Amino acid sequence: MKYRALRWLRRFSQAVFFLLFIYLFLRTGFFGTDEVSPWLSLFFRSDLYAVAISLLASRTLAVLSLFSLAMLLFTLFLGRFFCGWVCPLGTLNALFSWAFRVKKRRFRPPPLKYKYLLLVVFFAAALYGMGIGTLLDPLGLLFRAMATAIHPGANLVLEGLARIFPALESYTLVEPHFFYGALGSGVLLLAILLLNLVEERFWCRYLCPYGALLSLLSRSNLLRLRIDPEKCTKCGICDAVCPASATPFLGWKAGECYQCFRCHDLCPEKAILSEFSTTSKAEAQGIDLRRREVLLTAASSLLALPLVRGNREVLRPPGAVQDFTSRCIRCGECVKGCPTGVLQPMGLLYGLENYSTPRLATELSYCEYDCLLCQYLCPTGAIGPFTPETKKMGVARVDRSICLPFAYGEECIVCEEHCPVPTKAIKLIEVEAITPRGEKVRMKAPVVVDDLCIGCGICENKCPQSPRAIRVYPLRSSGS
Amino acid sequence: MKRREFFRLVAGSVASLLLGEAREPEAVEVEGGDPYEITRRALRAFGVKRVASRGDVVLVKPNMGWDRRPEQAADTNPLVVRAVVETAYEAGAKRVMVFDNPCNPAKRTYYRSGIAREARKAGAEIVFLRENHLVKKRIGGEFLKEWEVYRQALEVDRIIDVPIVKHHSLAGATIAMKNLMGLIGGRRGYLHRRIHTAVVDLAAFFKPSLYVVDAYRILKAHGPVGGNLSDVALMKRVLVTGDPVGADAWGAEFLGLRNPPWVKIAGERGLGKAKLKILKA
Repeated sequence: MKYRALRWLRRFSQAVFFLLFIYLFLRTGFFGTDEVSPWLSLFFRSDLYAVAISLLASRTLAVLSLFSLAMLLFTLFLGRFFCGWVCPLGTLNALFSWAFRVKKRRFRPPPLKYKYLLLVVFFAAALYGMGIGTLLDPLGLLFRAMATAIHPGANLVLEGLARIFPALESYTLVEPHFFYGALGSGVLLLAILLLNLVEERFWCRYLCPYGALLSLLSRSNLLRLRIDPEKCTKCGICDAVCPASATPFLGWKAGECYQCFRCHDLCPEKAILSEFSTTSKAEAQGIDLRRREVLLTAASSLLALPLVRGNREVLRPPGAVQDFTSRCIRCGECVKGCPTGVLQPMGLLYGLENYSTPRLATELSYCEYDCLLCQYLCPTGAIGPFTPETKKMGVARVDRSICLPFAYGEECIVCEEHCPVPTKAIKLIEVEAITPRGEKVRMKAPVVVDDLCIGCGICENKCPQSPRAIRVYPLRSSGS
Repeated sequence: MKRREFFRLVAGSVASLLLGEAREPEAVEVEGGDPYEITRRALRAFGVKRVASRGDVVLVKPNMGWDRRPEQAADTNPLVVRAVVETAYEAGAKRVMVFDNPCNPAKRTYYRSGIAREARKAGAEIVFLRENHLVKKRIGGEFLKEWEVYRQALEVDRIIDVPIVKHHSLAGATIAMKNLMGLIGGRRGYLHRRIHTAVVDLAAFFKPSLYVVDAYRILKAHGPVGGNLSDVALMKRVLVTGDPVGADAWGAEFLGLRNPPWVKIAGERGLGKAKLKILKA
């Protein structure tokens, strides 16, 4: 009876954390104030895996990320309870597995080792300063998919319905944004969810690198499973129902177990119990992994990883630190929170290293001068502190061969009008221009003062010319 | 002309004939320390009944174009807007909406300008532009022939234009007529090619019934966005009038502009007169 209650308690915990995840997601953005709570990104600040990769890759740590040490402690005591009780992707996988109800394995189960080898690859990448491992962080990939695909998609559906039922209109987003990479992140999540058709919680068992990390930490956790040999009839039901391949009957693998209490509950003889105790050496089950495999994977990753290096000369969010790519955990918090939608996940063309890290997509939108949000949302400090006055993302350049006043003798100055720098980084000079009909006209035309320009991109965004006659470019490292 | 407008016109003419002009001033200017107080006083002196009629649906169009704070004088003072909304309800309006199509992100602009909060206090509906709210319309202007227009602006009974007086690097100033650019969508930068004609085209098309010009704080340089507090001057005044030409002429003087081009064009096209009889209340 006790274990049935514990299972329900677990489901309750999963529901609570899942709803909290969604609530924090929906609250990530501008709601009247710029100084938002840094705890909006609670899940990522306590994300031991992402924080560890960011720490390894950049050798820096945001103070609030120390919260993830709590996760470390919990795991040392309780094992992979995170996977069973907290992880929102785990909860989704459990839900989909339940919906699909795949009873029988139709294949020989793959070895459990791949997730550990993935972890090795990703930690090796981190040694190179590359945080690509966070691409498969379960929290990050879920958040990115929600931010770029699910949320905008749901809004589209709502907009469609609002055409039939106008009352629904007030529930649609005031400023919906388009997101690059929606397909990539959406398909990744969909694939993970569909893998539950192959086997229950396939991702969690075989692939999740965060799970692998927690597993390594929980091999000798204090909450141990034990089978009472006097009651056990050796029916093997416990192994069959286990969603984690933790094989309680054939020898409990502490590192695989999610502490879900399903086997305790379903054991016909109620022979399985969990209790707090330390582990004797003989009891500790090894991980399904050979030393040679680990070394080989590490060595080959170290050789291959330089190939995925990306272009680092790109427009980054305001306040981006020097080693942005190393520190960023690709969680999508800034992308979701950005009120103008200018922060966009980067595509593969910029190199795998940069994939899904945010860039300033000035061809789509611009960085709002007074907005301070992203620095509070960024859980790792990859977006460091800034004020409107200290923003410096790039620099704008006027293309005089297409700019309306310069090239066509037509009045414009839209860029200067919108320039938010209080003393204007775009100045107007008086020029003599020649219209396409050959008339000479005098008029105002824009020039950029590099030192004042912050590279926000509103000029590019509002330029009425096609193609844009003013664009923002990244600063060159040797001055600009 | 709709039947309603016709009756209003007839009733208005008859009333002014009977009562004489003195009862209904052309324009009212009030000076004082509190933007809410002076706006209320000006509207009362101008005549609450001229603000809205019983059952009207009213669209209040402040200049809510930029993500700036009230002290920076890039947007209409929120207390002025609140006074307008309150007076419109007092006059019997059924629904008062506050709207702009801002240059910066709408939510930020609505909140940080303080207007959303203050207008809501007075019971206004805060409405945001959504893509399907724009309809292509014949403007029939001299420069603007056809453009995307905010649908509600065509459906309401009245538009009340509540601009702030600001410097504008191309036009010289942006006051009442240019404020109407917030009722259209599309690539608005195109209007800069003939900005003076374009704003007159807009005023002739939308025909707001009332202009409440906020010169409590004005932005004297680096407009229309501003940002520098040293560019802001405290003038502590508002003007209420039904005449767009007079409104803009009055506001432009704060920036040292006498008879600027668009005021001249609008005057020539018969939209109003630059020299109003202003009642100082």
